[in-house]
Amino acid sequence: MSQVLLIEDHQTVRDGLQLALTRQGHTVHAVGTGEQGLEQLRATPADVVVLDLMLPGMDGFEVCRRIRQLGDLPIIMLTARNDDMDVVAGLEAGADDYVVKPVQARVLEARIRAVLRRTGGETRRTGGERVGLEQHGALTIDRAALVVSKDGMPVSLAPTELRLLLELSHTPGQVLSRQQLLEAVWEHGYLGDSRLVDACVQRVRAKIEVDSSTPVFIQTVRGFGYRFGPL
Amino acid sequence: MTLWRWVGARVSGLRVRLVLAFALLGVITTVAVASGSYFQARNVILQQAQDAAVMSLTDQLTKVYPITQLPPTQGELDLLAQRLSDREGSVVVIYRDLWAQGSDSLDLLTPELRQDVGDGRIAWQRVSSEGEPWLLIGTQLRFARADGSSRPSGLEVYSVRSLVAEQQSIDRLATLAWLTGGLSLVLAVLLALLAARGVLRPVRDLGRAARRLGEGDLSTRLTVRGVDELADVARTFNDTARTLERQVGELRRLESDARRFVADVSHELRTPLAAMTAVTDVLDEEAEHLPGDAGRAARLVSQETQNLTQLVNDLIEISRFDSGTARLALDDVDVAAAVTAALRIRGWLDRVRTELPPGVVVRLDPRRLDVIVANLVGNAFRHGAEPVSVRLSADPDWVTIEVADQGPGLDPEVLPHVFDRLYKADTARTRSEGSGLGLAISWENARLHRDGERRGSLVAGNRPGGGAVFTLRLPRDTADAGDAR
Amino acid sequence: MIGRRTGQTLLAGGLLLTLATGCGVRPSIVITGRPAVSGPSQGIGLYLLRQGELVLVLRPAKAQGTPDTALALLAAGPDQTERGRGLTSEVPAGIAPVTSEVDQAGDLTVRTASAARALSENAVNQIVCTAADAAAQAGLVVSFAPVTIVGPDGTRPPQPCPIK
Repeated sequence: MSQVLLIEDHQTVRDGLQLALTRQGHTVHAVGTGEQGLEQLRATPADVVVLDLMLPGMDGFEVCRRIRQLGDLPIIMLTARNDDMDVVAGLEAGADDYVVKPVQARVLEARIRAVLRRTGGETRRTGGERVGLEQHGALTIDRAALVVSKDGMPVSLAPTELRLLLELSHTPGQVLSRQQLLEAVWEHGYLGDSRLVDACVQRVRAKIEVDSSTPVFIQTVRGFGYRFGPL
Repeated sequence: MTLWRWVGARVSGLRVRLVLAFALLGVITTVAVASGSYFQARNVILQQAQDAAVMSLTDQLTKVYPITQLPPTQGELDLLAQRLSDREGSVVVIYRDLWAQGSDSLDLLTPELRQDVGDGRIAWQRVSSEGEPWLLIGTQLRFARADGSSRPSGLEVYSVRSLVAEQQSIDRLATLAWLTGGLSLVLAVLLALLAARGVLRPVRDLGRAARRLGEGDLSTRLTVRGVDELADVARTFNDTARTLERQVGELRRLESDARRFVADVSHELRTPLAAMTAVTDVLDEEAEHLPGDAGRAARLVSQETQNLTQLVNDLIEISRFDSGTARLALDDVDVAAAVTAALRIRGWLDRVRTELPPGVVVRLDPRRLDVIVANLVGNAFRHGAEPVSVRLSADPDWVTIEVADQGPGLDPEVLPHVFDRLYKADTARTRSEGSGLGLAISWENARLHRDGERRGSLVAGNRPGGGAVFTLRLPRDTADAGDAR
Repeated sequence: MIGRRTGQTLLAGGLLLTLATGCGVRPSIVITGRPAVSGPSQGIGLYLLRQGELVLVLRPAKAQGTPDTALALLAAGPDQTERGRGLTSEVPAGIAPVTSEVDQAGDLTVRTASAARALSENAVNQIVCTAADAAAQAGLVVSFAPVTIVGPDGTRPPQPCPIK
């Protein structure tokens, strides 16, 4: 079904998650360190990475950055705490989503499926209502090919980032709350962590805006959320 | 009354007392010295004036001799009086019932003076007439005998002199004395203020330090100056503060050690729990296929693993509040939608009567609101009786959520402990009903929301009509802690 | 404490009061000094009476009179002017001629021509004071020496002049 790379240093946790995810039909490659994980990625490509942040040797953030440099592979963080700086740092390092340990297998499974839906193949099926090129100032969005270019140069966006941009640009000028975005992009059924949205917006801004401190495309509407434009 | 007490406090204040004492000392010393020298000088002035006048009179009188004829005629008396009178004073000459004078001065002569003069000695007296001081000097004119004795001639001479000049000198002296007194009083007050400042500064420092200590700044120390009693007090204060700081530090260390231990234990438990939780779904699925006891055992392990996970998560949450590391993730949240979502995902929406006016958008941490609502409603289901109601209301400063049930309400003995950790109101309660930390965590979550002086709160009470009611109040605009975007 | 403050106030007040009332030149009691002024007289002194009181009268003279001269003038009585001023004498003119002598002991004796015992008290005083004064003035006797009057009818006991 899908190839999952699990990077988790604790043997029992690793075994438990591998067992559960395998039963859900995933092919799980489980390794104990970040170095092994990166090596494994080179040998066998994966569809999604489940990454523990607390790793011996190379830590989870560094692994996250390295994977992000390789490409747009979705990353789900495993974190021990859900409201400290680790989450923010992990999201800024490029993670798409996170779950807090201890986590039930079906929760992690749901997140994996959600993040996979955002990747190329599945997004084409779900997000292709409007076909054709859209021009927003210097930004060109091709919803069919899922390509975004700025001044004619293609912009490399991770699946979650692309999905967020598509969601916002779908209704230019209309404000979307963080909760709405969480439900639409991350498929968090209820009260998700709005920091996911904020971190992702920051990453997208860094890639498409001229000056991310005075954004033009994705604007913050204080007290409500975000909106695309107006340009 | 209050004013008098205030005035009394000011007057009996150390500064005022010191200044008064100094001023009084200055005044007394000045008055003593000034009046002493004034009286002394006055006596000297008068003495000198009198001696000079007496000397001058006797000098003049020796020129009268020798007397060649007695009794004198009126003309002779007048002549004599005229000769003896000068600018400084007039002279009265009396011979029995005859008298002559340079001016109108006879009335001034007192009987006592006449008496003493009649006894054969030079006598003088100061009298006051019409506000002016006068000096009267009187003497008989006697005839000397060959053997040194004398016999009276019956002539008496009185000199009457004005003492106005002397009075003026003395008045100048008095003015000078008053002036000196006034100046020294001013000087005394100034010195007193200086001295009071010197004495009071350490006292004020001590007061300030004590207040700071009282406000919790245990590192407060005084600079010890000199070796006087105040320095002793300062030293004692410092010793006390040092001891206090050490002991409080020790207590805090013990307490934080205990808390860290709980936190560490919880974290340590998390890894095995993470492994166990990962496979509870496997257990649940397999339990259906396992026969009898094995299936029940599998379900039991799965259920308790989840309960244990909840307990450990709650413990970690609590320890985060205790260590002050709990942070808000603020968002602008439609409270009605958030509460509805919290009820819906737990399947409670149909069991709860809600009164949730839409459009109340509040800046808060949605995850923490979810935790509070879930805990309060869950608690109402467990300990109260249905129907459970959730009511939302808002004013410009606050948003209020009331969770009420129709049960027996809270026992008055339980009420103060509702938000205590692991407090078991009902000893028969089974463990599966919750970790016992839910309300404590809700309370902490409410308090974490604050906007300046306004601070979120969660209170428990009983409704007049029966049933418990928990009231959550959060400020409308919780101050931004970390959300910069 | 209230008591102490009141005490202090009273003390200060008392001092101020003393200062205030003690200002300026105050009337005093009579102060006596040296003996009265005395000086030489010129002329012959004799004692007449004025309203029964002994009064010293100086008669101008070139030289100091002897007791005898003085007593002779006394016997002659007040002159015109003196009488005009109310001076009298109780010494009878008949006592002249009067002589005086000083004995070994320094006592003064006056011998009169008429009866000595019949003399009035004032007359005796007049004679005694005039004689004693003149004798003392002449340096014959000490002042206040008692005087004995001897007349043809006998001797009066010695007595001093009552005027000091």
